[in-house]
Amino acid sequence: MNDSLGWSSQASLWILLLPFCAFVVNGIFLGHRSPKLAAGLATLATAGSALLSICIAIPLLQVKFLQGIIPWSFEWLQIGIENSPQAEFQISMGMYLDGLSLVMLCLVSFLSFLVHFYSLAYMQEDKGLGRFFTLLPLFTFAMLGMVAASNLVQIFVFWELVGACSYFLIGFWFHKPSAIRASKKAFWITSFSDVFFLAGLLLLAVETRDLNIAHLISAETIQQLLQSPGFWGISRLSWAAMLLLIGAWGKSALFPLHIWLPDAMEGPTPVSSLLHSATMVVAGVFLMARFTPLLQNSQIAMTVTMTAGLTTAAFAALVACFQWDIKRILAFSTVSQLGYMLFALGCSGAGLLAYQASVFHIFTHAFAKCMLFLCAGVVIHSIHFNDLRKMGGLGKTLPLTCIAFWIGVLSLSGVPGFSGFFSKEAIVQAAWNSSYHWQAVTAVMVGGISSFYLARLALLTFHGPTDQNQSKLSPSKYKESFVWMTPIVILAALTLGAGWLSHQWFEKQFYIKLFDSLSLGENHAAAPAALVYVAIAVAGLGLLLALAIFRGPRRHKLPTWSHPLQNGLYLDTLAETMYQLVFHKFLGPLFYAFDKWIIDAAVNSCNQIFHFFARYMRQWHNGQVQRYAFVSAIGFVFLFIIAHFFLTQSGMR
Amino acid sequence: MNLASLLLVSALLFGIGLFGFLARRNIIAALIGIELMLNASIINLVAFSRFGHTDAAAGPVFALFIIAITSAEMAVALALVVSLHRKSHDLRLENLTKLRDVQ
Amino acid sequence: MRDILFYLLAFSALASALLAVSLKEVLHAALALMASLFASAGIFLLLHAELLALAHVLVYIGGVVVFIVYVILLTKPEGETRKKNWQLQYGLAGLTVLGFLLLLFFSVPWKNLSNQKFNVNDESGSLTEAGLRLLTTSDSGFILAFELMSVLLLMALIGAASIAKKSDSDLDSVQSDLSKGKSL
Repeated sequence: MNDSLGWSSQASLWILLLPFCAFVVNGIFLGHRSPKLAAGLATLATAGSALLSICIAIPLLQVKFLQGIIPWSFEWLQIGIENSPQAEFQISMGMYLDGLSLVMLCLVSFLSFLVHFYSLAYMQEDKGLGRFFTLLPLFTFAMLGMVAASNLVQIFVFWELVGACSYFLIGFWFHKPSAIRASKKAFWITSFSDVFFLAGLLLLAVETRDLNIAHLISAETIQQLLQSPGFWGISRLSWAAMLLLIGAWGKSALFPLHIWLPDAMEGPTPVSSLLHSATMVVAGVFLMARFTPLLQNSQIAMTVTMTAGLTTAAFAALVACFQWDIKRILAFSTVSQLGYMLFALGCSGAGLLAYQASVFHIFTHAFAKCMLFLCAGVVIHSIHFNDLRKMGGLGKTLPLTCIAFWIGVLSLSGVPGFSGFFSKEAIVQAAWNSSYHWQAVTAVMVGGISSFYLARLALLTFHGPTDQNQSKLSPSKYKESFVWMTPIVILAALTLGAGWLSHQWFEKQFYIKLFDSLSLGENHAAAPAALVYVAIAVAGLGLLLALAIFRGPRRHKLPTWSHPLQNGLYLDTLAETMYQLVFHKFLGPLFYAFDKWIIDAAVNSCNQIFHFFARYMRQWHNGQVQRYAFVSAIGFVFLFIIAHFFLTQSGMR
Repeated sequence: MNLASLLLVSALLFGIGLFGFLARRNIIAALIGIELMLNASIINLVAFSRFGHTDAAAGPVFALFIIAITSAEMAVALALVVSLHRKSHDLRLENLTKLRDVQ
Repeated sequence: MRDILFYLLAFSALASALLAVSLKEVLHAALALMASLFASAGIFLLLHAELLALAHVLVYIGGVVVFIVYVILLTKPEGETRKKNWQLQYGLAGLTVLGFLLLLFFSVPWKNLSNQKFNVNDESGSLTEAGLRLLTTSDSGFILAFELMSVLLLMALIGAASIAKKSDSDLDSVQSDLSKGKSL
């Protein structure tokens, strides 16, 4: 297999290296001096990376993967004593290419390139342009490194790098207190769940002694994990899968750890776009998809995944209906769609179909969500606020954006023909096929709600009367320049066509070696055709409902009963209170006291001791000969005593 | 008269001289203390040369050298005292602190 | 007879030494020092160190102490003025000396010392032998030290003269004092 790779094994390295080089060059040389050049370099680098990954992926994706290929790898760390095989533990770094990582590589690099391109215009007047185009390639590099990782430790390293980059980028406008808060929140919550990821990693390391992915998801390892005794009534495999799941929980913003994601819109819109579509949040889903063989052998982990996914999807969809902030609605939409993906992975125990559907949904959702955020960026950039209550009628001034936005909305709503339709149907069908009937129905209902709030968003933004606030702005402020619109148009085309083009491939060619004997899905009754029609009908109903409510005159008051949903079930407040309690009320004072009374006290007391002695010693150095004579005499007496003592001891007398 | 009693006298003289040097404030009184200490050491040298199997002549000769050194030291010290008196009219040791570090 | 003489001399040396460090008036202290040195010279005579005793009287008493007395008369030093912390200074000095003496008393093997025999006959400690030893160049001679000592004495002489000499500014002030009718 490696021989047939030929040039691409060399080239695959450059997929990662190009963004990294851009980061290094921009960080050291170009970022401060010529931000414009830095922006160009970063965009070119990601373009190269995208081109390379597509060129490498297309021939490889014709192959049915049963096992990943490793074009290159090197030993990174060796832990333990050499020449003793029991204690030796190697950590390598490399690339592991299979269907999943190839799809993700293409997706990440391509979307990243488009976002870079878009940012050329979006960020051009920003003072931090150089910094932005230093961090964005790093972000891309981190995510690429993660999806292509050949070792779980490598995944973890890049996973954390993704987290750190998102911290920097969410807090990009660090002069805004809200941005700082949001970045800290994102970092805290994802780091909290990362602890569990690390625990799972260590458990796997102890258990298998080899963290290469090829080894971890091989049948032997899973057998070994299944056979080793668990604790607290749960097998080790389940523990590992659950810990990894909790790691993904925070990163992929599942309920109730989703609270960082809606706040993450404090970053620049291109960052939100990238973060919501292909990089940060997808990392969690990717991790679970990568370890589906583990997951599908653990009933508990699967049930938890499915439940968490479905709860998140439903909850976020409901909350999104009652938000007024354009980016916030999109953020909740992302949360909801991530819930879908995890839900599909949770169903994967019963068959390959659900796994395929999940990755397919990552694929289609990424285009749509990326585009929706870019459109939102255009809107926000032209009117300089993002409150839906003050918007309206923008479709006239931003026609192209309006059309693209509607394409995204319809795609995510699951209207037939758009790419979202294919993946959503695949998920619902997979769930039904796996005999999760009511869950499938719930998913369909959530789809209806999704279409409602997305349509509401589009209607309130682009249609209806023009708000008097924005009519004050000059028409020249509204601009749909070439650089703005090129990525949007490309993404719109992909949102329209990608699902239709690739759903066959995802069903037939996108394979992973699953080890459940039942996994080939042949024994399952196919989902009734009615399900598809019902799903379409529900989505249509949601759209129509939105049309009915929001076409007419605006009402900006929401019903009282929706207050908990407007505030996201007060989870933010809860998290805030807990944060306050734990860090400000408890840990803060504790550490302060520790710092003051132990560390500072130790340092100061050293000082004080010398000060004390110095105050008395100083009096002896007053320049009087007799004082010095005293000291000499006393010193002589003591020396004499010591000498006398030692001489008598050693018998030299 | 034996070696022990001579050494005892020498030690006591030295102690008295040391006390004089440490305790007295007048610079000339302190010099008198030094004289006493040197005198004690001369007694010590002679005593050791007179008892036991030692070179009998070396002790007195060494003592002669000490006397010479003492007189040299005294000459310089008293010259300093005169010079000091001429400068400040103050011969109290406690006021001679010009050589101390700046505080 | 020798013992009695020795004890008398030792007692007078110690007593006058005590006086020398305790008398307030510096001139009296210098005279007490003279007495103490005389007593020491007597002890040297008892020990058959005649040359040393002679040198002691000549150089010490005739030279140094007289010099001290001259300086005292020249500078008219005030007597010991007992200021606020004199007790501290005397106490500290006393303690130090006490510690020193105790140390000596406990560390010196007195018994072994008292067994030593007096080894000097009339010839060996005599003036002749000491003179020969001082001026011979053989291994047992001290000619080099003797010569160095003379150089040292010369240097001390020149140094003392140059230090005690009135500087130009002093001469100026003396002249101005004289012109105002003041005497030295």
